[in-house]
Amino acid sequence: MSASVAPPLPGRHSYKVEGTNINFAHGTTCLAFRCNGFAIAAADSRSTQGETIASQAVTKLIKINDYIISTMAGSAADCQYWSRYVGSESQLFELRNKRRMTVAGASKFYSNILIQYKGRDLSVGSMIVGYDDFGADLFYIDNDGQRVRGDIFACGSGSTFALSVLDQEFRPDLTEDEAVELARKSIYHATHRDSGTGGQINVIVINEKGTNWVVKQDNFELFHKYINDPSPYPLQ
Amino acid sequence: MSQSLFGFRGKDFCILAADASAQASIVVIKDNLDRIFEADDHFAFGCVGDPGDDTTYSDLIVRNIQLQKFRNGYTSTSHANANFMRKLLHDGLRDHPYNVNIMIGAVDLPSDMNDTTTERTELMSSSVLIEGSNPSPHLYYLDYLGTLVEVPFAAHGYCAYLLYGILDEMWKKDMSVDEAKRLLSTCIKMIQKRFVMQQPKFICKIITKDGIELIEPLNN
Repeated sequence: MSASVAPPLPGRHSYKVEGTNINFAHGTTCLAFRCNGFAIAAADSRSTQGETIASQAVTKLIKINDYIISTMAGSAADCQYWSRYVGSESQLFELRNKRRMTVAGASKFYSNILIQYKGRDLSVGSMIVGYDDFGADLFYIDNDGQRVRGDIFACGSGSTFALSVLDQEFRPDLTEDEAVELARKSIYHATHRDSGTGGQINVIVINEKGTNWVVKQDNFELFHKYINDPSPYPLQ
Repeated sequence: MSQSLFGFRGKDFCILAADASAQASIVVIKDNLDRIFEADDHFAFGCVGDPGDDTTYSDLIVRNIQLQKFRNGYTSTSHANANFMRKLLHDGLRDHPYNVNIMIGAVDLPSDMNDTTTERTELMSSSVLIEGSNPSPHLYYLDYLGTLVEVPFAAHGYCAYLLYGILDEMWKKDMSVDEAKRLLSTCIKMIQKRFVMQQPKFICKIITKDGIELIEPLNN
């Protein structure tokens, strides 16, 4: 018997392929936010297929180019394929135009693809995070064709847990170290409460120097750091 | 349906208001979203509907209205623009529908007040002569099926259930800007008091002969 106490979680895309028994369910937590002079992208690394954990070592932060990262929630295949596609187009853009694609440009390009495939069961929820001539920038895009600019986003089945932690301490004037710590903590709390989220915690900082992978850490190491009172979870 | 969009006409202006929240699943992902698009100096429209469709359709309209202006050298009337928007919705209805509902607010300037006159207009201006000597405000209701109606006031989505009572009761012909701002405030307060979804912020714009401006509702 399942111990379900809440309605199905948002972002836990689950769909059945017509006429088959294949049933994909995708759990994830990704978050991204923008501070003065830099942006952060963070994610867990668990991949699930229905009730099963398929992998604990998935890279959900995909490099589009040296200055733009896309986060991955939804179908891993769709996200990987189209992020790679946007990546290759951004390289061609750079060769043709002698300048890097902007974050707004890359996200619009990605979003236009998703709009073309709208209603055809693509499953993508992605944050496009990066740094360009206009500074750090951040967009949320999804398979509905929605594309919004913002300062804080989270995506996936654990996004509500991450967002609740992130919203408490976010300020635009966080230092890079504070921001990385906040990102790690937010993802950790999502791994703690969401079964679709787990494995390692990855955090990337993007600033005028490019992308910098700063954290790659197993979430189990963080239990005693973040759960102040372990008594509700006694070791027996 | 849960997004709010409404508007009304005043003496020589139109007011449009739309809630500023963007949703993904159960989460509010943005609270300062501007759904009121400014397609021309005196032509704005609010757009609510399916996520994705709203921006796709609106961008298409804004760029095409700009393109027409660029090609012709003069601004089309709001009636022409509204019918263009209607046509685009209805053309796609059976094939690739845009699930969006629109509210258009515009002010037509008489030809001698129109400052977009260029050399080219002089050659072909006869088609854009607008009768009368005063700026004329127009508010159009346009739904996803392509129903286009010119109205004094209107609302889309669930907020229509809450607002039509107020608007029927309180809207007056030839309202001043201050009266309109008070009515705006009454409407927004009503939505925030009785509608189950939280809509803490509204973006309101006024369209006058001088252009389009952001406004704040006026408390009584």
